[in-house]
Amino acid sequence: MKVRSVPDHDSVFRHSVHPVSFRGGKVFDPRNLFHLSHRLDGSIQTSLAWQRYLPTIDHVHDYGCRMAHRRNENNIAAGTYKEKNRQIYCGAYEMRARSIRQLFGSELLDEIAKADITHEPEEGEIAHLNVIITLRAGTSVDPENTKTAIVDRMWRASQGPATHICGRDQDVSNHPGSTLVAAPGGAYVDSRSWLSRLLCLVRFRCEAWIQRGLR
Amino acid sequence: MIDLYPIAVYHQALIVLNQGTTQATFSTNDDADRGTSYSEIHIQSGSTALSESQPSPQSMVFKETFSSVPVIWESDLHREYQELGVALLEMKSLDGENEHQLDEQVYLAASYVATELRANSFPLPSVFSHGPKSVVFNWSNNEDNLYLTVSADRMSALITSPERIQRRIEYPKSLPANPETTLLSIKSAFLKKSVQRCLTASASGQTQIVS
Repeated sequence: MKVRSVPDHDSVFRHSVHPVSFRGGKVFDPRNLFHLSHRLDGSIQTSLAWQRYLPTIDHVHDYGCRMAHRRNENNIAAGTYKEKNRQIYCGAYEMRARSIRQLFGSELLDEIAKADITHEPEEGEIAHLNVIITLRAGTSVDPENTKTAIVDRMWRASQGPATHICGRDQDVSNHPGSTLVAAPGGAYVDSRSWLSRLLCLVRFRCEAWIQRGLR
Repeated sequence: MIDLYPIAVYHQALIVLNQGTTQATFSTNDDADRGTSYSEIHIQSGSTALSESQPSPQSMVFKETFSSVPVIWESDLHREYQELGVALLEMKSLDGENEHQLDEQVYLAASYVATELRANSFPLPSVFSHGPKSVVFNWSNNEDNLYLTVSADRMSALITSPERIQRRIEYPKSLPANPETTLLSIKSAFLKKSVQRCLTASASGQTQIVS
């Protein structure tokens, strides 16, 4: 399928998927949901999901449920699954794509050479986005400190959470989703007009139908 | 620019009562002419040992303080930091496939830092990780945040506000040889930034900088 660029004003989502034992509370910080990892080339990466291909909040939650289920299935296949570490989808936080790109040029983040968000379908998920933050060559700054700064900026740009309990998790007592913390940007609100939402949904269905036809 | 050395040191009053302290009363007086306030704190020391003598009350006067001085029982601080220790152990004990599992060396460094934080009466932080290579301790003061990122062999501090990153400090080792001074300077830098924001943002209340 055609890989598109992500407009600055588009909404993107970070899904909160935790081991069932991470019930939040006093000690565990909500910023734990932003998992930034290093790529082989030294850049910093994380994943988000694009509203363009998740046109309603139900699609957003379905994406999170599939993500958690996939992780559990992978652990079962690898023989490492434990019920106490069962992955639970709790909800999603929303931000604008421009929040990522604005990391480049932020004050006291001189080590960031580039910050971009690209559409890269992965594991059958067409809404998957890759956030790639490239560091300047030869920087002496601790990259772990850079990650902390990035997490802080992303968290402050977030709204939500939009909480959810997946069908598979109805049996979980004390669901960790009940302990999700409100983001600094306020409650999640779908700010699109009803017409815009309808157009997004129609576009999504057309593109999905085309993709199925091409297979 | 990233600060490598603290350029100023401020002292923040924090009262930690040990288990022998049985009673504490507070009164705050305002000096309108100087625009400062001072607090009188009367603490009656007790003892679990058998003794026929009555403990005498002791008074300590802080000439200039923040409008609110945090007070915490040492036993509460100890109990809260035990929760932090359990959380770090849980993060170390996650399955190897889990992206939040901590490396052994990072766990040890974080535990050491947590011990020093408690010894210096830091309030309990929240904690998160970037994966196996680092742990981050986080404190909030109004809308500002202080982060301590601890790796196996280095530590860094970050102070942020909603608008921007305020300050970054990096240390070549998980804790320098004089951790008390380092941690106090970090705390002071964080509180100074928060007070400056209070003073410039609005004139509500009497918030003063300890001198």
